[in-house]
Amino acid sequence: MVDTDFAAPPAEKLGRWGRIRRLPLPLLIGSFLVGSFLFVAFLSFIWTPHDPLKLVVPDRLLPPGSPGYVFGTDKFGRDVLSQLMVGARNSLFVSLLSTSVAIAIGGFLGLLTAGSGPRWRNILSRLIDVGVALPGILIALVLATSTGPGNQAAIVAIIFWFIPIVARVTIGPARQILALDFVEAAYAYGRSKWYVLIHHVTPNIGPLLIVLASVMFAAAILIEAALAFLGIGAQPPTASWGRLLQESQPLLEAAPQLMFFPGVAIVLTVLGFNLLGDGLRTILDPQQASRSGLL
Amino acid sequence: MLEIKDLKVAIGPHTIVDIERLSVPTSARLGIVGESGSGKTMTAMTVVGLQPNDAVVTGSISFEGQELVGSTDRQLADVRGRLIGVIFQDPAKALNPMMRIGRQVTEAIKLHLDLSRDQVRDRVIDLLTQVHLPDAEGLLRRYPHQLSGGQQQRVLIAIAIACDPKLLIADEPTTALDVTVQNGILSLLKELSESRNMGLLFVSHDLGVIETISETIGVIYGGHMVEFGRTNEVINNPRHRYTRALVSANPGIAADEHLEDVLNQRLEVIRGSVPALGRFPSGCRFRGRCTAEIDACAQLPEVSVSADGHIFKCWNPVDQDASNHGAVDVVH
Amino acid sequence: MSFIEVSGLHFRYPSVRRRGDLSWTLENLDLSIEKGSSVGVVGESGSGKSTLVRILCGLLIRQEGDVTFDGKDLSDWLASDSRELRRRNQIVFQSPRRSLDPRMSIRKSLGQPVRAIERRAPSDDEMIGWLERVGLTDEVLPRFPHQLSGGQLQRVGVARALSVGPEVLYADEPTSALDVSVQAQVLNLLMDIRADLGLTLVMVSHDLAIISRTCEHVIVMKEGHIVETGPMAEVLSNPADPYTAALVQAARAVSLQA
Repeated sequence: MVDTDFAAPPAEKLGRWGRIRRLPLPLLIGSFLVGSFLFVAFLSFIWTPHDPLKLVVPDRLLPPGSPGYVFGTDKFGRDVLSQLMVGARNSLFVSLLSTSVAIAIGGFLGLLTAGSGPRWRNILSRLIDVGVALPGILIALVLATSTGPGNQAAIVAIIFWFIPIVARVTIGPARQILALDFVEAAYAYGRSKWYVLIHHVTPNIGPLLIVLASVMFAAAILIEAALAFLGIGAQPPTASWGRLLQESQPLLEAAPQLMFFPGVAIVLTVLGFNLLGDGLRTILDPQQASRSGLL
Repeated sequence: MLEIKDLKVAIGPHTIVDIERLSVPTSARLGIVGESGSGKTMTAMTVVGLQPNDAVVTGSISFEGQELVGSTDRQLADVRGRLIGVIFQDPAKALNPMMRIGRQVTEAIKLHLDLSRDQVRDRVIDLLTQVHLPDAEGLLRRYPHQLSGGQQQRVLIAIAIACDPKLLIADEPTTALDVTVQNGILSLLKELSESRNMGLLFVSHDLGVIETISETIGVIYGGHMVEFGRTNEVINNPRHRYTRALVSANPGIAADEHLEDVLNQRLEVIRGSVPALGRFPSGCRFRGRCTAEIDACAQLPEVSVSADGHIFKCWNPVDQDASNHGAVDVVH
Repeated sequence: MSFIEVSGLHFRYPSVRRRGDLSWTLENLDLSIEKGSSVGVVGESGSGKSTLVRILCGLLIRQEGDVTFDGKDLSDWLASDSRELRRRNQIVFQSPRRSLDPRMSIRKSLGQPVRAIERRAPSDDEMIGWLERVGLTDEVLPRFPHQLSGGQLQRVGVARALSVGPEVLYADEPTSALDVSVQAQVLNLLMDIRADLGLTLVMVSHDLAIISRTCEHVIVMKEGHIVETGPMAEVLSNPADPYTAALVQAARAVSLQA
């Protein structure tokens, strides 16, 4: 007797645009914003409207919309738009590097802890908790004073800041997966614990990690800007949105565009990554995906 | 006491419950049996207004003359606890783990009754004793996790009957318990129902449990009540094909002398599986799994009532056995 | 010596606390299982029946006592020939939804034991054969677990377990999470394949009715001890131990008397 009654209907055939239309809205908006950010950042390597470093003092503090300077200029006559583009490059670099490293190391640490016996799990968890409790800014300050300020300090600070958080976030879900029967089944046909952690646990916490990555990426951009703002991060002449914000402070009344545009850039980019993360989570979960008709 | 007419509960495009008629006389014990997704829990919850927020309820649920469908939350909250008590499946989850037992029972009482502190305390101890929990006074200060599953369920029963409700709704209260404990809970419920003249609406997927505790049974499949009648009658003389299949597919423990004979004998099977929501066939819900399907089954069967109140909805029912008397009236 | 022999088994779950005298989850168990027999392990919650089964199929390591499979100690098997041990002992779990990786297609999940034990990729034809044996078609191969019903998932679990040709099939409450109308299907399936393949079946259940219809022998457990063992009909009709008697009586009281 053959059992052919399926619980969920098979996916309907979608037209070429059908799949795109079915994608969740946050994903589309997020992708657009992030895509723009990436595009601008990469574009800055080959072209910017003006040389962001060149001082053109006669053109200082021009308002947005001035001929040749879409977003205006700063107190040295440097084009705001060009500076934003190069700043994007810097944010991208710092955030991408620090987030990826933190997720890789933190994720590994989390998996290791989740897969350990009770004693080691306790020890590692406590250590991770200590890590989480340490204030990130403090780490950054310490690093800046010992190795000197700059992008390296920012990157290392963000990595140390994020690793315990990633680890802690992954322990719970990883343990939940490890408690499921299919993991026991894998052991029953001879798989090793590390095989299970890599091939069964990681894909199942994959969506979580991706969402985490996008949120952390957004946070990293903010932190990078904050550190640059405080003077610990990117040092001149390296452009950074944070530094642009810092320099705009005394000129707020005279030239608000100097604060407005970097601020908006940060907001949009962070928003973009958060939305992207949300959208990714939806399509990466097979259950949710088939519900929206994608699988 | 409880009268349900043309009750329909729908969530989105799916009608989860569709019951034409169901009544529970005062202090009677009715069992509703159905599998997962049959709508049995939804029916029970809808009676006390605990259905999901997005569920649309039409029809009539009349309790002691009071119409419950369409009542406001406040009116229902008054009914809940005071007139109708409810106990659920997993006692560990139904009790607040951070609150002492005494306080949890007290809260149930204080909500509906206006008594002095001492009166409340006496009543709590009395209730705990009524549900046969030993050392009621000591229990007041204990936390749920210090009790066994069976004891926790007894506490929940005490809470449910705290204000002397006229009806107790029990949704799978013994499913999470060990079999030796189940019997104790079932006897307790029977005893309370008799001594307090309290009706019992018992929902379960387990025919054996329902058989033990109910006087009348309603069988639900796909949201429809496909059969209803006295327990003995429905189980030993099922008319609807689903009921008969259900009874045959899950036989109990054979009598001692037959144990060897039935060992390794294939069990009777119900083909296929319960369809997912929204994928039930049109017409009779059991179509596609029924072994006696006829052409007429493409239409929703009408209700047939036999003289002794045995109701079923089947175009091709199981033959009446010889001892069954009386003509069968088809109700339009 | 029997196919599976246990003597003086003690087991407790590893824990962090070391103060005081930790109690055993399983204490002093003795049992033997003949090749080709069907054995039901019954007990209430906390009896240790699931734990016992996991030790027998090599998923948990005992602290004390002897466990031999086909003449060789389990520890020896695990140390020197674990793949063969795994091939010959497989397990089906209680919850169909949790026994398959939700992110793997059925095709991928089904092929896992063969990949792990035989170190090769099974062909689609082979997999279709396994599926047919449990009453499923190739339609399920490209699907994911959430698209199948509980009954189908349980069948896939059985097909997966049988894919490496085990001699012993352990089943931990294989029907408890299934709808009542589907339970009979899975039980029939287990009985059929046991008859076809000559499997030794060890089934854990809290439901005495199921055990009474599918298992020739019964092991009754309570709080980590074996209370009674023997032929099923004998134990159920003439229980030697008062706990068994109470269990049987309670089970009869709530079982259908149609």
